[in-house]
Amino acid sequence: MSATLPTVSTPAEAPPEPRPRMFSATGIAGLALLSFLGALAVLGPILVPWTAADRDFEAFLQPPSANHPFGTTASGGDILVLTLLGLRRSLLIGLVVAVAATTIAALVGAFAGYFLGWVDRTLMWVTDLLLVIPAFLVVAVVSSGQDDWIALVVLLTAFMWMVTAKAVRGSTIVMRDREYVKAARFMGVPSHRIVLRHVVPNLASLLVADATVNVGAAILAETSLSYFGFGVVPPEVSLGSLIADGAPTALYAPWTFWWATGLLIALIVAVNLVGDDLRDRFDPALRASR
Amino acid sequence: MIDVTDLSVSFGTTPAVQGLSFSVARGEVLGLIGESGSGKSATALAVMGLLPPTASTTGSIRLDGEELTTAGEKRLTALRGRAMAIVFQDPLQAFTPVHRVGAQIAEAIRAHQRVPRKVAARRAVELLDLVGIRDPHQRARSYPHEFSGGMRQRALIAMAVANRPDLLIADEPTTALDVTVQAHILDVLKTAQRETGAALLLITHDLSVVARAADRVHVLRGGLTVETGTVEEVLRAPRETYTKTLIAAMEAGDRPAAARPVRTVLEVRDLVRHHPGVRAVDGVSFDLRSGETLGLVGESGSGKTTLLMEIMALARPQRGRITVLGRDTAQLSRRDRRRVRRDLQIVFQDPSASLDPRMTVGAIVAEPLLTHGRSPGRVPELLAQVGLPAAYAARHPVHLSGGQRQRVAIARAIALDPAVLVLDEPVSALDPTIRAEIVGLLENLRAERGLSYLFVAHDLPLIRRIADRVAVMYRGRIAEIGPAHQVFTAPGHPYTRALLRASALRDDDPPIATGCRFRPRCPLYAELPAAPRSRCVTEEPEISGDSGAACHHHPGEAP
Amino acid sequence: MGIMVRLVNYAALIVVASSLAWLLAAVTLDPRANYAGRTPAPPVAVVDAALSEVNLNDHDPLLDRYLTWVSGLARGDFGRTWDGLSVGADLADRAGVTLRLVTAGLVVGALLGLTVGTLAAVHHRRWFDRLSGGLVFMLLAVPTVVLANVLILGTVWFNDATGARFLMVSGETGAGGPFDRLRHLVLPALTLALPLAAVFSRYQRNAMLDVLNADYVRTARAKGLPRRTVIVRHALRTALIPTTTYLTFTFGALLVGSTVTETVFGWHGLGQRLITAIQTSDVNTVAGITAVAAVALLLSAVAADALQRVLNPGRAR
Repeated sequence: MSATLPTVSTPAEAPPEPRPRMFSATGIAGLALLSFLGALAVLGPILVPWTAADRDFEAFLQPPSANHPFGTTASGGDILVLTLLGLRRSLLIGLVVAVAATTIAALVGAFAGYFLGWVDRTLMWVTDLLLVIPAFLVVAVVSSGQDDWIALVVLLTAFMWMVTAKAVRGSTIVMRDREYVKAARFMGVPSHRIVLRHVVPNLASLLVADATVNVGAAILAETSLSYFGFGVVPPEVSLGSLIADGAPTALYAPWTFWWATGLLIALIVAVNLVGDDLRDRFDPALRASR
Repeated sequence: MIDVTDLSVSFGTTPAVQGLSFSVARGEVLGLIGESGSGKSATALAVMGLLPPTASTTGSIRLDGEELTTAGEKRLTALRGRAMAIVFQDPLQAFTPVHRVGAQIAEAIRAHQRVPRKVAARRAVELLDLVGIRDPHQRARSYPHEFSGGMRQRALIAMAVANRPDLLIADEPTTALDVTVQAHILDVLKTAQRETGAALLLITHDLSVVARAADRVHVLRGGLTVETGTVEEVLRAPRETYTKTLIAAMEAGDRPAAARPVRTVLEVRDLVRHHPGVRAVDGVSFDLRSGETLGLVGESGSGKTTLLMEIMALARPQRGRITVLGRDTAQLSRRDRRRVRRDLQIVFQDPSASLDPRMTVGAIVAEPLLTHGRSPGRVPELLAQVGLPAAYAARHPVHLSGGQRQRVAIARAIALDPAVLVLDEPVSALDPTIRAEIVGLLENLRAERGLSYLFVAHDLPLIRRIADRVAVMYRGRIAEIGPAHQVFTAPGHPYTRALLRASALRDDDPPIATGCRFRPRCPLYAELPAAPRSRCVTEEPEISGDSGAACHHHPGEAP
Repeated sequence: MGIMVRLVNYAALIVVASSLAWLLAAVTLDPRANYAGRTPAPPVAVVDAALSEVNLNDHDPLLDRYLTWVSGLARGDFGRTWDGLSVGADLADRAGVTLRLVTAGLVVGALLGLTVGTLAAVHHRRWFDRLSGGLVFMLLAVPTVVLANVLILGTVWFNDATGARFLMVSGETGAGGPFDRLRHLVLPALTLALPLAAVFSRYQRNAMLDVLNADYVRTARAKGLPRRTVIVRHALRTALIPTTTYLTFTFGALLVGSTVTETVFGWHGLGQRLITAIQTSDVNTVAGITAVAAVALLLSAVAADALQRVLNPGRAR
């Protein structure tokens, strides 16, 4: 068949301008801060002359000095290196938990919302069950006496995907009636491929924004757990465990508390700024369905 | 009454209106007509002082001699709703969902008149009565979503005239509505205007609305005025090409009548699809033959979309039978169903919704090919067939215009060389000039490839121009079916006649359980003596054969 | 879903959730450890007997223990703590404490959050929006532990500097009397309220921004209503619908979610009990708290539904 369509005029309308997808000023600030903290977490511990295991027996609970820029702990540990390692661990926990939780949320929500029926009922029952169980309690029970931070990551993930999954399900139910999904169905595209190729990619903005917010949420959850001794335990350190260790001496040795606290707050502010910026780019329809 | 001189509105650096001047006198109706983006809605908002803060305005707007562009917010608040009022488009969104309709109208009254609550409530009921809402006492206590589209639009008109404004603006007051309801709304609007003696500024993209209701017309394009004059002058002797296109789209030429082809490609028999509480499709039969175009018309809620979705699902219907190219859909295995899908494809109304925004044009057109194990090498050829350069394959749909997107959707639909194309309002989301291009493309494809079209549209002149046969749906059934020429020139069903004449029909009658479902709105039934009436009440009229009207009393039917 | 189906489903969720918590705790925790440090070490038989008495003996088969627990639950008996106290009575006491704290925190947090969120949306992209946005971001980033400690440090400093003794930093009540209770309530309630206010204000701001652009808000302005009336009666009224749902759910989640606050301020509520229950390996208490949490969350779901009916009689959204 040849392309013999002389009567077809070239389209008269001008195509719309491509929409720029730039970050806002606050988004750029968040991104810059986040990159800085990331670099600090990766490179910092290598550059500092002390290690986590080192004890300076000439400096117990000393304020910042040339030798120990962030001061020392009661047992003579260098707070600079501890804080940087804590930052590294907290960042890692936050990132891994957020990515894993969002992935589970996307799959559970999209399959439940697309297939509906018994698939939906089963998946949503499990989601409700996990929502109803107090996450803090289960994580604390299981991780008390555990010293493996990977187990902590798995547990945090297990209790962090449900709310997003419900949002994804809601959006999928709306999207299932979108014409491009119908078009794919009427074309004969298998259902699982429609979910993976059409539904999930079109929820990307929601998912990315949610993943970012979950980074902060995971770090904060770890902090609370560590405060009670259920989170990261020695010899490992996280910002949460450092804050917990420093809280009792905060009044008379502020450097044991405020460095870790400050970095934690900076980290979460940065992550939330980026997340909020991404969320602002939402399709309004997606936001309305949340 | 209202004098607009050299009005320009821009959003940032984008001009929306440029140097617009017009005036409307008391009791006069000015039609402001143009496509989307022509600046007509921005004009309405500028007059009302409701433009967003990002907009900048120059020029002058004088209401009864008072300059509005420099008036303060306080003064504008006092004028809005009292001296000037507006009826917005999309009446579902125009009422606050959590308050009763009557209360919202009473609120408008109490914003400008010091009257007790009770008096305002009573006045609201009278206003609902004025715009022809049945049982206004009861209806004033309803919430907006409990109203039909036409009722909401009428209630909006009631609210707008509550304080007898000097200027009434109607911004696309009939766009979302069906032909017969549109006519009714325009009648109500004219009545309300006559009652209050207001100047009426009627904003629309639809020339027939202007022709029916306006005294003078002002044609806008791209923020500029292209033509102005009395309605008769402009309709009879349009000077600008743009206006000529608009008028041409309203006129209908018949297709030459031809003998029906023999081969049936799609057959629907007694199809039923009931949703809980709604008999969406309630016994529909028709057939579509090879190379034929069947136009399907009917108001929203008549079951057209449900019917199409039932056909496209290729599954066992609730009741009845669907046969595609000789294969009964109830008997299809999974594999057969996939095979039949190649022969039956669909083009949706809104191309911005029917193309996956995350995929490139190339990937979109290739998807059906890949799904059915064919080579995507044909994509450039397919794009060429719909008049798009091959380079467009790398673009995303957002970077295409509406008409170009619809071309992509058509390319995807013909990729598998189907026998039947289902076209669900394929041009109604497009502006009139683009509409003509896409219709031309569809006509060419049909001629070249011998396609059969099931073409759903509410644009009657368009259907008349392109369809061989026409089916008119009403509340889940076919009211009339037959050759296009016959249906358009000698309609057998009173509903078809109402559609063709754009007679005013109300849209707030209750559904009917037995007998003829058109009865409550039927002008013929209203005039019948008691004896022949009883048949309409007890017996559902049927169509026998492949043409006819479902009416006990139409001329061709024995009494 | 019919109302009966829903209630049955909720009951099933509660039973399964608390059973899971019980099983998890029974497998992981070690009540025997409570006797480990004693001198002289009690004989194993005595410990076994004491543990069996309260259904916590890990030498008894897990299934038997579970069945004992479940049959107790069916009679409304939550079992005993390791030292023989009734879990049900203990939790009932503590629920009252938590309820007071959470109610105060939620009311303050909601009022603050809704006000700030509404004003921020109305002044979109102006100084109030930016300032409150910045504060909200800071608050959201502060862990509860830190916030509680900062409030305590600030109060101690203030008390020392002025010699005043208005706010108390520890315990639920001292000498007694409503005024004394209030002095103890302020700081923990603020610790709960501030982050809640931050979250609510974000929600409310987004809901208001969605609504402020709605056609019906334009209609309300077009009929000549003053700006304030438009915002309150049309925009705010509608924006409250999604926000209240979120608020109600938060109330349910907070009942056992105020762990840190209760611990830091020495309130003997459910959240604090959760920590001590894990530390003393009180399997039955862990399961009991789970059951209470599940009931609270599902009750809040029912309440959210009822509120929707009241707030959205049009049921149009």
